[in-house]
Amino acid sequence: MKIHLKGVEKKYGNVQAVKPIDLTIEDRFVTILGQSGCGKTTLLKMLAGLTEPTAGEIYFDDTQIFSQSQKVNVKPNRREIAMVFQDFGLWPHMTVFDNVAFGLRGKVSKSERTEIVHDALKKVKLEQKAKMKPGELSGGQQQRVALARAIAVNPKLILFDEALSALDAILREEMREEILTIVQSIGSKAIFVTHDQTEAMAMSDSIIVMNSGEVVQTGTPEEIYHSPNNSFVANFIGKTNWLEEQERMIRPEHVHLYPQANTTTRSAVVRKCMYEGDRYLIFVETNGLLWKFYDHHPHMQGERIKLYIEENTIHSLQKQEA
Amino acid sequence: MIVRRHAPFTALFIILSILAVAPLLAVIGYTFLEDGSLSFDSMLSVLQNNSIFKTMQNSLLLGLYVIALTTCIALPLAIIRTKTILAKYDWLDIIFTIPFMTPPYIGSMGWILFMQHNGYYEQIFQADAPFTFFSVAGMVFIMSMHLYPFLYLMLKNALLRIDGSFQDATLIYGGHPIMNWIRAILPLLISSYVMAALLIFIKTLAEFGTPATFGKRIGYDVFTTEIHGYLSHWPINISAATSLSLILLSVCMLIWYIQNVISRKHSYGTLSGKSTNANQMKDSLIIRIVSSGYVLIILGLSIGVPYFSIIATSLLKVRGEALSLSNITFSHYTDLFTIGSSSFQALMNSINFAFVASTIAVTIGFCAALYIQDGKRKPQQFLDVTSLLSNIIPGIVFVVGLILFWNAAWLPATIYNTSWMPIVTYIVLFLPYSVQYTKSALSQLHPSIHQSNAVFAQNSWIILLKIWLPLLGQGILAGWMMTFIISMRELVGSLLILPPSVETSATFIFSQFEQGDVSKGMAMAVITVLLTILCIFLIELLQRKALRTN
Repeated sequence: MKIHLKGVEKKYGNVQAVKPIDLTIEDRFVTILGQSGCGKTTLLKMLAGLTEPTAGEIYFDDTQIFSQSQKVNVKPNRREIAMVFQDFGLWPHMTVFDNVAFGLRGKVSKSERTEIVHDALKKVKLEQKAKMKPGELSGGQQQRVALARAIAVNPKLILFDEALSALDAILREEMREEILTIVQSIGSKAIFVTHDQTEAMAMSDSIIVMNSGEVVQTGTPEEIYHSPNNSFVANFIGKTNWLEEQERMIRPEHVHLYPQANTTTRSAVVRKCMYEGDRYLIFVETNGLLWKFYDHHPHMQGERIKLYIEENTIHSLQKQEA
Repeated sequence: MIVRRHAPFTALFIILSILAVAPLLAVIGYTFLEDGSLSFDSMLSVLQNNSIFKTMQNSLLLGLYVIALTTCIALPLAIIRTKTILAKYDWLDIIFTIPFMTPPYIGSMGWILFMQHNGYYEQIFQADAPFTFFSVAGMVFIMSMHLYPFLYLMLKNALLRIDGSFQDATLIYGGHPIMNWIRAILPLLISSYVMAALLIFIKTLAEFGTPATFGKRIGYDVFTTEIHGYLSHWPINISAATSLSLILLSVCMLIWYIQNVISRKHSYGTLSGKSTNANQMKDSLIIRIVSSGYVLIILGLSIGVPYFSIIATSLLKVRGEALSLSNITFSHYTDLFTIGSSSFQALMNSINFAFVASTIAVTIGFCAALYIQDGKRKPQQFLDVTSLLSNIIPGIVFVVGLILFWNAAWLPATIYNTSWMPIVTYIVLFLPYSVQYTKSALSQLHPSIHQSNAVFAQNSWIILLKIWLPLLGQGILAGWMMTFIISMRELVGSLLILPPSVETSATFIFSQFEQGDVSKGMAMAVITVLLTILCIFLIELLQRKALRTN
């Protein structure tokens, strides 16, 4: 399914939560990435129909699902979508089975419902818990129920609103993979909203970066990482070393202690050294700027070292903006 | 589409306007409009009347005295219930709500029967009371015994919230315990205290039961009794009543405004994460004895004495004779339940009116609470304020407004002088309870529940039947019971708006106590408080169950 936004915006009084956005989303797994308060959840809720845009039009394929000027606003339950929430949004008084079956009520017969629900629960590996209430499950299990509820309605699009934020680090990584496999298996499209850039990098075919109500860059994770449009994206995603502030940058993995092909040198003083398990992150001062790079050995504070930087990986922002 | 989207708001808006806003406008209109033009004559004539200042002074002083006494009672109680071994006994809080839930007129009747000449005090102690109870001090005492639980619960909750990590932080960074208390705990406590105290003030000003029973005996007139007097005794003076109502209303609004300013400026998020009160209580024997003794004395004075008096009186064969087994009879109760007797009729009226009123109120309250949600949009806030109006505005002002509005000549039809009048009055007066109970049940749910419903439910009926009713049912039922029980014993509205020759249990108790068979009245009072206590326990039970399932 292709999603097309035309001049979609949201104002709360005089506050512009989302500035007019024109965007076409074609990839299968898409992440909306941004800091809290940048308008990413508002954008997602406008896609879901939970928040009404103050202007603009939204199309799912060729179907108009929202238009301010033509007064079209398809209700959330008619948009053929599903949604997974940060706090799960499971109905506490219903069993797992009933929660998953809920979206099917009034759509398919009871026997069919049972089959679909069991199928969905099987996909998230929770068949055993069908009779339990959400309150009796762990956070990860509850999120799986929410996922099962989403896939049960066979949506064209599943929206994930910070769906993994409430889970702990290990569980989060497990769930990432599971979500990808499951969503792929039902042939649906997914849009994730997150503030976690590793999550965005790992899960998506393309990323939409937002900052204070605006889309600042869209592209594949690689494009965004290696060629950020502006200094906000450069600083927000990954670690950045500036050659000249706000103008030319290089990522830490392209800075070395030993000469390589196409490298130039500069001298630096070690300021701090942090162990990251598989390597050390070293903070150095060079030409009055703070840089970061990785090494397999710790370095003493105050140590003078020589850095070799890969010239061809330097990314110039001015070139992009011009 | 526009119409459809605004339909729920419009419907609720019209209902609430007719119920709550129109009566208030009627009061204002009656006071300031004369033959269609603006006039301040009636207000001025009331203000020029000397007795108005006496009344105002009486009311305001009473409020201050009651704040002082309730503080003296409630603060130690709150400390005892958070810092000593008694902190464990949560059931005590249910007991403490009993005096607050007891109709004030019944409480003061109990005290009058106990302290009056030849009353139970003299009978038990075989001596005159060492002080004159029938004075302002006595009235302040009776009212405080009714209102202290409110202050106590607010202070206790404030203290509990402050505990947790705040407490730990003061232990680590602070110095002397007393200085810690003054520097860290007290400022955090003070905003809760001021808010609670101002609400006590409003409640005292709006109170009718105690001034009508006890105050009248000692000639202490306040706003509410004066308004009632202007409307019920010759010469009837409606414009004086409305003017006085407006003054009372302004005072309450002003206090409410101050309360709002304070709460906005000085309330802090005192909920600091893990507030497990894990420190073991190791109280010395003396502290245990003193704190238990204090709790017992307060309970004895606020429940024991008045309840003893009304129960004893309801059982007496011949009043005036001593309390003894030979002087005990159940005949007043059998009279009460004799089908066709005036007392049985009054009780049934009360139950009927209260049943209909609370059912309608809960339906409106449920819809309003669902619509209000988090109150972010203007129409939501508007409905929120309107539905909670009668929390701030004294009941008697609403009653005056309802009388005026439903008597207006231009109305094509009126409910005045029908059984719908008391029902509508109860709905208006007690709507906030049903709104608040549903709202608090809603607030315990995750905010994304609404969004889950919107995305997954196929239609609104499924949402109503499968989600809201099962999820909020217990909260709604608790709200229904609360509305039912307070409607059932409502006094001031019933005295003023009941159709001729219709009585409710409250007016029955009141008239029997004033001039009639006191024992009969007290039998009815006992039934009323028993029903009240039963409801308190049921509501408590429902809410605990609701908390557990969520």
